[in-house]
Amino acid sequence: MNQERKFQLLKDTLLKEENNKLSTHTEELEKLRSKIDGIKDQTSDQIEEHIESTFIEFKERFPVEYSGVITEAIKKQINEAKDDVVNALYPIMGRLIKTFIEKEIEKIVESVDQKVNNTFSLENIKRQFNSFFTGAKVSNQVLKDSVSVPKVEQVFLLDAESGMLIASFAVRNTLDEDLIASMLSAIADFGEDTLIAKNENFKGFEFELHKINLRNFGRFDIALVISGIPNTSFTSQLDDIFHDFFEGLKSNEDERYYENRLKEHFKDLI
Amino acid sequence: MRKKVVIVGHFGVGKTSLTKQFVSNIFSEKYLTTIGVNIEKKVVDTSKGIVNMILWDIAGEEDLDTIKTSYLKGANAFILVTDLTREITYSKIDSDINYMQGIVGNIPHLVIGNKSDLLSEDQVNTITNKFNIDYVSSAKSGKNVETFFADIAEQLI
Repeated sequence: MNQERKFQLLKDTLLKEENNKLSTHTEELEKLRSKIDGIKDQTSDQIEEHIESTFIEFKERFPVEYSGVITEAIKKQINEAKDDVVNALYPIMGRLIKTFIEKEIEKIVESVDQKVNNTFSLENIKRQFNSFFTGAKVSNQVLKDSVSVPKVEQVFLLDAESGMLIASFAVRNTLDEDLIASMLSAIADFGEDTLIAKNENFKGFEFELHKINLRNFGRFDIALVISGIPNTSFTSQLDDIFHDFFEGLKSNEDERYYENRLKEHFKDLI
Repeated sequence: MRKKVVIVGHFGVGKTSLTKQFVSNIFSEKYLTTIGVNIEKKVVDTSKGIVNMILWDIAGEEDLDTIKTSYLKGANAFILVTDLTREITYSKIDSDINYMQGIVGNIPHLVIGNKSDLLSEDQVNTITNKFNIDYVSSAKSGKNVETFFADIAEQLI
């Protein structure tokens, strides 16, 4: 008997009891494993069914149970961090709006092109000629013509401190000018006091189809009621007129003086 | 001649009701709640000429010093309205007038004790003897409304 065999025999003799225990445990483990497999086979369908039904129920109940809480949380978050929300939404909304506007403009241009091609009129012939010589698209000319031309409807010169009307000029008279002028002044005061930072002038506001433009020059306020869509050239013309109007404007003159001055300077915009 | 008259007083003393009594056409009351002022106009024929009174009916607060001073500036006269049934509205007349004069200067002014229809004549007399009230009035009955507006119009010329 060689050394190795002897060693094995000794090991078997000494570890006999442990080997028996090991075999027993292994058998028990096998039994347990097969038992678990059996249970798994028996219950897996039921568990799956239960999970599915719980999930469906959760999905159905979630909006009912938590929508109020979530809405409140979102509202609170928006109120507390408006800038963050705007920053987060702006890139997405901005792109969407831009795309939408581009598509709508394309549609308008197509529709205008179609109409122009199908219409026989002197105006159209003029536009076609113009297009031929200048290269400007006919549809662009039609669009430009159809955009509402900006026009000053009424001008009020007010005492900046009291808000009282000093003089006014309009092609057609509207409601009581004293009341309108004072209300405009009160709205401007309200705007300056509550809506914008100090040391800034309240520049105006929009009311339905009109824009109310307010300017201050020392003891005078001037309020313009503008209809149409003011473009850059109109705004620039307005700036020049304001400058000319206020330059050399005298204080403490009678109403007629201020009325004439308003007429003289603003007649081209009315 | 255009003159700005501001009508001030505590909340609920009847400033707007008095203005309504005096002015035949109400422009719109909605501005009072939105921007805190309502403006009305009344042409008054005085012994010295016609006055276009532009009435700035300022929304009432608990104290005068909380109203928007920008609405008061440039006023030619002011009317301080009090409620005779609420002492808190007339107990500080002198300091209220001082406050107003601090903003608008020493201009013509009247103090009105409104809602006289809710008190007996004796009660009204007791109050007017003690406090500096120029006119007692009732927006409900119209008592003295034309009179005190005519008075302030006369003072404006």
